Amino acid sequence: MSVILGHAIVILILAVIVFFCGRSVIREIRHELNGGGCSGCGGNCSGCTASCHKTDPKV
Amino acid sequence: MEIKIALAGNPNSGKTTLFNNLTGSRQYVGNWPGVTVEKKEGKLKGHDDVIIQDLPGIYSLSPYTLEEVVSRTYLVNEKPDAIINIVDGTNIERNLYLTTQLLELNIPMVIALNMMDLVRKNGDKVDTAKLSSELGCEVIELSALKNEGADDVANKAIQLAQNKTIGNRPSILSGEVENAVKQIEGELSGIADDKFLSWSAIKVFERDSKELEKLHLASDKKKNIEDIIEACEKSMDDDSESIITNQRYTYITGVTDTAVKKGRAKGELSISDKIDKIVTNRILGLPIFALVMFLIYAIAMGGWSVSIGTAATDFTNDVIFGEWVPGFFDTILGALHVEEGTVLYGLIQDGIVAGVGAVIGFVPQMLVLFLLLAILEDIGYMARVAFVMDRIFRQFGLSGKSFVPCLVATGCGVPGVMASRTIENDRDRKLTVMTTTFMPCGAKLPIIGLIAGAIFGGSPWIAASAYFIGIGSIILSGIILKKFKAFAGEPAPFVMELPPYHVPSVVGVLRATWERGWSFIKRAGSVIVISSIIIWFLSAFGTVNGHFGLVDNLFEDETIVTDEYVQKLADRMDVEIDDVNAMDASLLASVGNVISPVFKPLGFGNWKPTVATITGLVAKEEVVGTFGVLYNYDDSDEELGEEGEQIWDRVAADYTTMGAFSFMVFNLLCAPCFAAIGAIKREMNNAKWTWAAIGYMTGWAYVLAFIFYNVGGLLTGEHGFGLGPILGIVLLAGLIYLLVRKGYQPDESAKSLTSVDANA
Repeated sequence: MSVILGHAIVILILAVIVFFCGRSVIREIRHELNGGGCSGCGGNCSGCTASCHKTDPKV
Repeated sequence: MEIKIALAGNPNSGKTTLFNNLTGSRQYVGNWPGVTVEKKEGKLKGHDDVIIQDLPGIYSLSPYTLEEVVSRTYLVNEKPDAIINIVDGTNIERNLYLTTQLLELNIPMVIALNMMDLVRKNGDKVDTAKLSSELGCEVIELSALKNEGADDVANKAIQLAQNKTIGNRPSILSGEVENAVKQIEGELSGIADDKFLSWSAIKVFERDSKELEKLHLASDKKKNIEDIIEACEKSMDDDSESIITNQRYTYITGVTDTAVKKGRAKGELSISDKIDKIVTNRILGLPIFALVMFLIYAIAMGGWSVSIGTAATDFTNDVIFGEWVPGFFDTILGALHVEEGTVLYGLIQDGIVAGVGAVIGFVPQMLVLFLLLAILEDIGYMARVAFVMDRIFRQFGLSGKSFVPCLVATGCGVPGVMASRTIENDRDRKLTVMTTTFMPCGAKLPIIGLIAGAIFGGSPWIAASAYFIGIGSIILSGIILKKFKAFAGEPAPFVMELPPYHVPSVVGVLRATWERGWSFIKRAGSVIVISSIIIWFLSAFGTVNGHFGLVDNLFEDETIVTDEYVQKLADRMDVEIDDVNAMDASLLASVGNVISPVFKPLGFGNWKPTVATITGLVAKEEVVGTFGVLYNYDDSDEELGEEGEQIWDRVAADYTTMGAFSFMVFNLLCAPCFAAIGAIKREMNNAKWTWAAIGYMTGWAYVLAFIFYNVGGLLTGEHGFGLGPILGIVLLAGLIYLLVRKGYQPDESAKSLTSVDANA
């Protein structure tokens, strides 16, 4: 395997990780800042994802 | 056709346990009242068309707290096809109070008599056939914890919903009250929903504000109804709400006399009662709690031989993330011709692996801590702690109800903030929201582990002190804030049912532990990966003497790095010339250096902890992740990554004892992560209050860290007398003044605003 191909594979994998993780993180932060973090969970979990549970509107 | 079945019952009667059994969900179950504050939906296992709705626990259909509104609104407005009323068999009289109200809704209902295993163990006998005939609806025995009888209950509820079967409603009211309600029914005929006519009439008789608002009665109707109520009140010499309550309890007493036989003589103490005599003792209760929490933190995070959490974390840091993972990536990267010293190699090994590894390394400590806390919760001890803390909280005007959110917040601040909904008084609720996140949540544990391990040799006192600094901050903040007009007022009475002690459910405890740990790991896989990459780039690139590029490479070029430049950099970074390294010329160091003077008075005015503190706003785990990336850098010839603890040795070299403690205190108490800020914003429902909460927390953290560093440093001889200690003493005196001053004295009206009214 050539050096260029090796580097290209690593860069591609990193790009995929950055894309998906980055998208998930941005969505999560936006959701959390809107008060959606862990909403509806009621659990002691740390940092649920945005899709954790269906949320209720503010009482 | 879709069938909606609601689970309704008193707090801590086992609704969520049954919900999990029926739907296969893994909702958090706690052995104290008020765990569920929002309704949750799930499909019945094997029945895609049956929706089970788990509702927050309620004592009656007259809501006093925000989460009780959720239950009432759902039952009354959304009208499920059937109700499963969970009744705690060990506390049948009180639970039937809600049952009598649910029966009036004219919705098909089945009663699930839960905790029957405990009922039998206590020697009590419940004749379900008699109970069923008295109440006019099917009663099925259940043990949700052991998953016995759940299917029977669900099948019965489906059958009732499909056939729309409503049992023969018993006559709960009698005499004049029954007549008065009948007259009101006549007045409401055509106005209220026919199906709910009787329920509406009773609520109107009780002068239920929500029902009256919903009905929009004309003034003449209102007057007629008020005349009926007043006549009845006059005749019975009581207010309408109490009249109904008395009638319900009279009816319930009749039912239980017929159907329930108590095994234990009145006044005889159960095992739970005997244990409670010790653990909730006025004098012993608090020391026992302190000892229990100390032991838990010592086992999870201390440096003793029994500290299994620390041993496992050491193994993870030293072996898994010190040797195995870097070795694995070395092999992979070597096969792909990515050599050490290249940008890609640095990004993966020094950025992602170091950052994520630093955070994941603390997972074992966290799992042990969560396991021990889950056991304490499940056996019922934590509910006793709320009771013990009520005595202390009451001293400064809060009730023990404010401590329940703090217990929840030991896992995550977000549900902790949400749990404040169980507090009736709006001022107390706001105060609780403002202070709950002082508790060390799961994400803050790595910070505690890092400081206790790297600086204090794994001292269990430091780990446990973090917990007590959290509780202490809540208590002191409560005392101080309650003296201001915005929070002043008498505490609401605290009535908490103490669940009987029971052997913890192995599956439940392990599940709760894993859920919390897994969420943390998932977080490390998203936020920490991205921020590690960003932190690594910003710390690897920079401008060295006017040349931009990889600072490591630029620093090796002697034509660029002159003595004069190094001296200038040392002056700018405020370090000795021998301590200057390439990373000090990075972009991140430049940004961090601008902000770092803010933290200098707290003893950690270096750019690295500054950056870590700022990134901690996104997620508290990020503080240690940032350390992992920044302290992974080493300009010595020593091989990197062989021993994970090298990083922590470098951390230790950068801090004084009090500086490190002050760093821990500030990061534990300052503005919480984005998720908790979002939850605060949601619960406060007001931008000003949200900012006030964030500002207060950060201000409190700064003041406390300042006092710890300056006054603590003076007492320990770490530094001499000077401006810092003087200011520290002044701040300490100011705090003492705020604690002891008389404060605002509220009038009666300040005591009555409930959260429900405030949010209406």
